[in-house]
Amino acid sequence: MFLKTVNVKKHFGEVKAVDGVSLEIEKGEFVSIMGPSGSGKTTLLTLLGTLDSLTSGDIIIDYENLSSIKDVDTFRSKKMGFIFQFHNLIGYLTALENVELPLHGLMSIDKRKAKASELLDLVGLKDRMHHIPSQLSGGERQRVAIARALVNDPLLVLADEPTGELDSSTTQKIMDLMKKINQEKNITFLVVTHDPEVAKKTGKIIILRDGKISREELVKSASIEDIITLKNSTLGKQLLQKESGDPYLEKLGLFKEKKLTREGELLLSLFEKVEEL
Amino acid sequence: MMNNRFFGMTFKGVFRRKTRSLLTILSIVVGIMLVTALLMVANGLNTQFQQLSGGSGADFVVLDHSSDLSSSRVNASIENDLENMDGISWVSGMVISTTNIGDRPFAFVMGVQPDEKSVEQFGIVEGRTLQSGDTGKVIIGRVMATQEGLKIGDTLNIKDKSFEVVGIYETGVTTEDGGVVVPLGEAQSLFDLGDQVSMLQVKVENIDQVDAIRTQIETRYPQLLALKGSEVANQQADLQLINSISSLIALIAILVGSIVVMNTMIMSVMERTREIGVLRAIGWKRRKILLLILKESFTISIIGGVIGIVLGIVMVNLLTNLAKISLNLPVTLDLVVGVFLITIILGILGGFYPAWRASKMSPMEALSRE
Repeated sequence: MFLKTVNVKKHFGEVKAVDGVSLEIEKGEFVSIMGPSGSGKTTLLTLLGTLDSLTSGDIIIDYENLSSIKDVDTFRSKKMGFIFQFHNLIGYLTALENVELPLHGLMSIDKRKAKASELLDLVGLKDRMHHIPSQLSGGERQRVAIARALVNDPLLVLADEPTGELDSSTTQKIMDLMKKINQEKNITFLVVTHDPEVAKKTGKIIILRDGKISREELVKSASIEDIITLKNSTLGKQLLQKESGDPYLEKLGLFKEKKLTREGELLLSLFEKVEEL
Repeated sequence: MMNNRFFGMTFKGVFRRKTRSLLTILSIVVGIMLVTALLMVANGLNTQFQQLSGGSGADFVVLDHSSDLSSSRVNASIENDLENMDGISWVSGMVISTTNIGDRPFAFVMGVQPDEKSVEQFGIVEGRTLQSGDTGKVIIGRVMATQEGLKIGDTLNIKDKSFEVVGIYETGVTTEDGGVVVPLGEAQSLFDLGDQVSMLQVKVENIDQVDAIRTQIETRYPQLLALKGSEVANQQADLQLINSISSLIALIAILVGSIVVMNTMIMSVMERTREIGVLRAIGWKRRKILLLILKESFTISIIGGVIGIVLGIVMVNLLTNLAKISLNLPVTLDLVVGVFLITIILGILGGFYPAWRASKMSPMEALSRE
C-alpha cells in the first residue's frame, strides 16, 4: 500500500481534531477528503504532509513510516507537492521563480529553470512565465501553484481547497488539469474540499465527521443527479414497474419472491420524490 | 549554495516594500557617513601630528606633559643642557601654535631659529629662507600662498603684527604648508612665551642609542617627555578626544543601525509569515530561511554602508574646502575596510534575531485560512 494510516489521532488538548483515522490509498489514486468544517480534513492533510506531528498512530507513505524519518523537511521536499487554497505564490517573484522555489539547493540554476518552464508549459502558462502573481488571473495563479507542486516530481500531491477561491468554470478546468496530471504521471492526489462537484471528479471520496471517517456521510453526499441516474437505469426502470426481471434486484434485497421488500419500497418512494423535485 | 538567482530573490525581497527599505538604508547611510567622516578626521590628524614633529630629520622630540602640542612649554635653558649631553648630535627649539590668519579660521604658526636645524625642514621653493637677524620677516607654506594669493614681498598680518613674506616653502605636510614660519623670538613674543619653546627636536649621533637617551632625558627632567613621532599623536588630548568621539559615534551608529535594521526585518518577517510557511512546506529547511532573512538584512546594510562611505568622503572634502582648512585627510584602505566591517556587524546584529524568528515559523502557517 502506497499510503496507509493506522488509527491516526491528533488531539489539541480536549479537541480531538483527528480521532482514529485508518485509511489506505493506492499509488496513482485521486482521492478527495470531504466533511463539514471542523471535521478534521485539513488537520489530516497536515499530518499526511509531515507539517505537523501525530498524537498517536502511524502514517506510512511510500513504504516509510513517518515516525522513523529524521529529516522530514527533505522527505517532504523530495516526495510531496502542496497546493493551497490561496495559491500562496510569493508576490514579488515571477511565475517561473515561484515554480523554481522547491528546487533551490537541489540542482543548478539552469536545470531548475528548464524544469520549471517545462511544468509551466504543462499547465498551459508558457507565455506567462515572467509575470508576477498580481498580473495573473485566479485560475492562472492556481495553475502556477500546481506547477510548483509538481516541479520536484512528487509521488504525492496534497491539495487544501485548491478551488476554494475559484468560480465554477475555472474550478472545472483546474480539476480537469489535476486529473490529467494524475493519470499521465501516476501521481497520487489527495484533495481536501467542501465542494461536491470537486469531489465527484475524484476516484474516491473520504468523508470525515468529528475526526473520524464516516460511511453514512458517503451516502448523504450522493448528489441528486446520482439518484436520477439510478432511477433511469435498467434496474431503476424495472423497480418502478415493480417487475423483478433482473436477478440483481433480488440479490440486492429489493425483491423477495417477486414482491417488493421494505428496502425496495423505500427506494421506490425515493424515486417518486425525485420525480416531484 | 550561493548563486545569482538566490541573490536575485534577496534583492526582490528587500525591495518588496520600497519606501521602508529605502528609509532603512537612508538611516544607515547617515550613520556610516558620520562614522566615515569622523574616522577620516581622526586618522588624518594622527598622521599630521606624526609628520609635524619629524620633518627636520630629528630622532625624537622633547615636550612637557601638557595635553597638546601648542600648549607645551619647554625652558630654553634645557636646550643648552641637552646639547651638552653625550651622544646628542643637535638640539633645535621650536614654537608651534595656531591662530587665525586672514579668513582662515586656524593656521599653524611655527617659530624656528634661522641658524638651527629645524628651519631646514621647510624646503624653500621660491624666495629665500629665514636668516639670522631677520625681524618682521616670514616664510609661508605653498598652500597658504595659493589660497591667500600671497607673493614674495607681500605683507601678512599675524595677531595685528605685520610681516613681510620673503619665501615660500613646501614640506608635503598640508598643515605645515597651510601655515607660516617666523623667527623663534618673534613667535615667542607673538604668543607671550618669554624664552620658552613648544618643543625641542633632538638628533642623536648613534641611532641605536635613541631609547637610552630618551630614558636619560626623562629621568633627568621628570616634567618632560621624549617622544618619537608616532607617540606624539597619542599624547595629544584633542586627538584623543576626537578618537574617543569617533569610536563612540561608530558604536552608536552600529547600535542605532542594528535597531533600525532589526525593526525593518521583524516587520518584514511578520508580514511574510505565510510566505515563510509556504517555503517551509515546500521543503526549505530552517537554515535556509535563516539565510534568506540574513541575506536581506546584509543587503540593506551593505547598500547603506557603501553609499555612506562614499558620502562621508565627499562630505569631509567639501567641508575642508569650504572652511579653507589645510588638512590632508586621506582615504586609507584600513579606514574603508574598518567602516565596511562596522556595516557587516550592523547587518548581522540587526538581521540575526528576525532571521532566527523566521526560521522558527511553522510550515502550518501556509495552510492558515486568514
